[in-house]
Amino acid sequence: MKAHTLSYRVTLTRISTCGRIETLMQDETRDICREDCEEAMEALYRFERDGRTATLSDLMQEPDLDGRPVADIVMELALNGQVELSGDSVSLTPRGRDIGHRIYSRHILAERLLRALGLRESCAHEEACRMEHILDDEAVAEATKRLDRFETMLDSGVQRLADASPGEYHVAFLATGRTQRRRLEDMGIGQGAQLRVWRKQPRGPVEVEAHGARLALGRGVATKILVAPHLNSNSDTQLDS
Amino acid sequence: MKDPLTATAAGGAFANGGPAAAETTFALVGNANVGKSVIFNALTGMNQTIGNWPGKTVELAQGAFLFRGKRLRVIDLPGIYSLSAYSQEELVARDFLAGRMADVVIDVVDSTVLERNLYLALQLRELQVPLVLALNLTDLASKEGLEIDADVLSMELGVPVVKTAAASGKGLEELVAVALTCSLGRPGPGPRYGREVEEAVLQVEEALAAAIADPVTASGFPDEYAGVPTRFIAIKLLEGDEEMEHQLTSLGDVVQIAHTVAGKLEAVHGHDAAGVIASERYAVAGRISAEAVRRVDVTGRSTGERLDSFLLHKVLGWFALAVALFAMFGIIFIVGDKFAGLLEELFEWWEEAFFALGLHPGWSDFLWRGIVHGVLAGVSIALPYLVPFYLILSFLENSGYLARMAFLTDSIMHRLGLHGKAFIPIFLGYGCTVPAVLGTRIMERDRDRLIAGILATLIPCSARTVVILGLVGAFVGFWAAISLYIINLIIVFIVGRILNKYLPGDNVGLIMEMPKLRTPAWRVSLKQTWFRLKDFVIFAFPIIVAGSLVLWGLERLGWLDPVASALAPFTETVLGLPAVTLIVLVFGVLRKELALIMLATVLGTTNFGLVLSAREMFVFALIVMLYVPCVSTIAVMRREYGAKIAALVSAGEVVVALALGALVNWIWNLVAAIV
Repeated sequence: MKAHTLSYRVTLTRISTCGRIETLMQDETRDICREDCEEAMEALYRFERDGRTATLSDLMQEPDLDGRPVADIVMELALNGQVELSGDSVSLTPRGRDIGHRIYSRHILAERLLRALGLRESCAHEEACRMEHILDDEAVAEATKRLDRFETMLDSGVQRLADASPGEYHVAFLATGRTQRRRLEDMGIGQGAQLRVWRKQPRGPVEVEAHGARLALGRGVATKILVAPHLNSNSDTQLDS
Repeated sequence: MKDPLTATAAGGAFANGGPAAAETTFALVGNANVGKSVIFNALTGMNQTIGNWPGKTVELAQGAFLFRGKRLRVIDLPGIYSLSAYSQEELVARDFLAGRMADVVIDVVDSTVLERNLYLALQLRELQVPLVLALNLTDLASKEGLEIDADVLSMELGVPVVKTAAASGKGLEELVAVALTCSLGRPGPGPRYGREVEEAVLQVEEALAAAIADPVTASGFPDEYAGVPTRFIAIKLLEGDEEMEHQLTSLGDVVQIAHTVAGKLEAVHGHDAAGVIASERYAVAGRISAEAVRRVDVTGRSTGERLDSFLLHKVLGWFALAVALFAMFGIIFIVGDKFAGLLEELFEWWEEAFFALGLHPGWSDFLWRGIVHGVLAGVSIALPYLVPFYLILSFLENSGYLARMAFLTDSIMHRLGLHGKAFIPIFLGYGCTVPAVLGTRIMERDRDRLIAGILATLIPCSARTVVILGLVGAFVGFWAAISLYIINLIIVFIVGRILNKYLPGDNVGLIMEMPKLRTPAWRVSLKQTWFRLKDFVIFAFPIIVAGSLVLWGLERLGWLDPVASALAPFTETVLGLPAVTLIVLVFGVLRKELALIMLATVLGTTNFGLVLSAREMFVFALIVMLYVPCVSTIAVMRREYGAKIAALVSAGEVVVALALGALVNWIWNLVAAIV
């Protein structure tokens, strides 16, 4: 997986904020791998997004780059034409920005996904840092779109029909197979249809009313129907927009 | 009681309906539970069962009647919710309707759930068949405070609408008269849907018309679709209907064009074209019903709803179910026992009278023991139990409680790989296995039908109940008999689990209509019981007579004893039963209660307690309960699932019964030796 490795010693000098001349030395030589480069470009991209110009010491203080040979990485990136060094600051070239952006998107998706699944923030972040190097960009774009949709649904109170308490709902999404979906649509429970939950058996079926008719839906079917609470017409908030 | 609709002949298959040109054919179509079969029975007086649980009528039944001197044919199509091709019933109905086999289609709709019922009506309008809407159950609708304007409905749909109340026969004469006037022409296209959908339909229709007009591709258009409107075909193609696509694959690039158009519709709406069209139909149905229906009386919760919150309650519902089941079996056994006893006495008196006639001894023996005895045994044993069972069953069906039972038991049925609907046929099994196996057709898939059917054959039917109660219940004790039922339930559960695990396929969910709770009309229940009983007598009695004859012949020929003695080592040592019982078991296959009757004959007494030990009676009843479905059941299984499966199931159950019999015998002896 490593792009290629470098093994040389770099010494960079710069003037610190208090005017002293510091010598930043990498004592050890270390293999620089693709992950390191990607991590650094991602960090630089984040700085850029926040409207800041990163310096080398900023990068060294980045928790995500902790324990990595930051100076070596920056030199490597500079050699690849992915960053530009001008005086103290390190900035991304268009090529580097593209990579940084992609890695950043992967990270965001992975972290959102893991957080949505209930992982702790720190844990989700760490895992996302690992996952960002292996995800496919196209898949990330597709999954992000879907995740957006689900999060919108969740924000509007979407839940599984099996978990819904009695009341008025509308069908947000049918996660069933083709045949079952067709059957439900024929019975008047298509996407967007209004329904009223009357009652449910513990671990059993749900009784709903749609288009004036009562239906019993088994628990398995009811878990695959996502519903959102139906807001009355006199309510201020509008759900569909 | 001057009935203008005089029932005449009752035909069998479609073919023998007489000279087709001379008569008009009606087809009855509609959702399940709308009273379609009630109308059918009222018109033809023919053998047809009426149910209040979904999907009951799965075979096409036909009948004929005279109306104002004209001979009319009626075909009762299965209860369906849509004309898509996702179930056998829908496909059957669609092929029948699209094939123009009926001159007039009568769509029976439930006035109390008009909106949902109009969904199918709109599809029938797409098909542009000569259509009459029978607005049924209007009596119930007005009881619920609903006022329906038939004229508005008729104008919106573009077809005649007739108000009916089939249970009391109201409006049927008008329905037939109006239907007759419709047989002449075909109505125009039905209500329009939204602009986007209509544009898509038009595009496909144009492609279709072009392909049919083009001599190069026209041969790809099947002849049987010649009378089907292009609008209907276009809509089905947009819906991605596999059957339709399959039929039209060679018709130029119509299918591909439909795919492209459907794709555009999907891109706009975010879900598939079939879903878009379905919700368009519901939008139109909702609009029409909002215009036609007026709620005059806005009362709060109806009695049915209050009752539902009790009957479907998490805890109380189960209590109600248990009480209902106990009451049902209590009534059946008390009533059945009483009538069986009375009939027995009556027939004994007949027997004495018969032999007192002084016929030739050989002849009288043949007539009585070969033929009459079997029939009378059937009458005195089966009928007293079946009549109350069928009456109560039809009460449960028509009141809507059977669907509530399915709702409650859904989670249990899931563990057997089935869903709540399977409770209905399995429960029917306590009455008679034959209707139970036939009843498995309400399940959607072959796998579910098979599992439910096999489990239903294991349930002790009324005939087996006679053996269990008549032998174990009477001579061993009440709790011993109950323990047999419990053993039976455990076996049903285990077999269900095994079948669920090893039959390919997975669990489908329950999607079932919950009919409203109603007070059943006694007239309908009595009629239904009568039809079922007639069905049973026609089906079972020839077998009983044939069985008695074979039995009598074998006994005369003296073939029974050698067989018994040959198998004696197995019977006596492994099962711990007297050698003769094996023969009794063999003939019990004819009808299960024959096992008990024959046991009495062979042992020479009906006081079984004198000649058999408790262990012997228990093991015998256990084997009778499980060992093989009766001949009638095997016959019906062969019809439903094929000869191979019928044979496999029968053989499997013999093995299970004998193994279990041997095991119980062994344990019983072991315990007896220790104690």
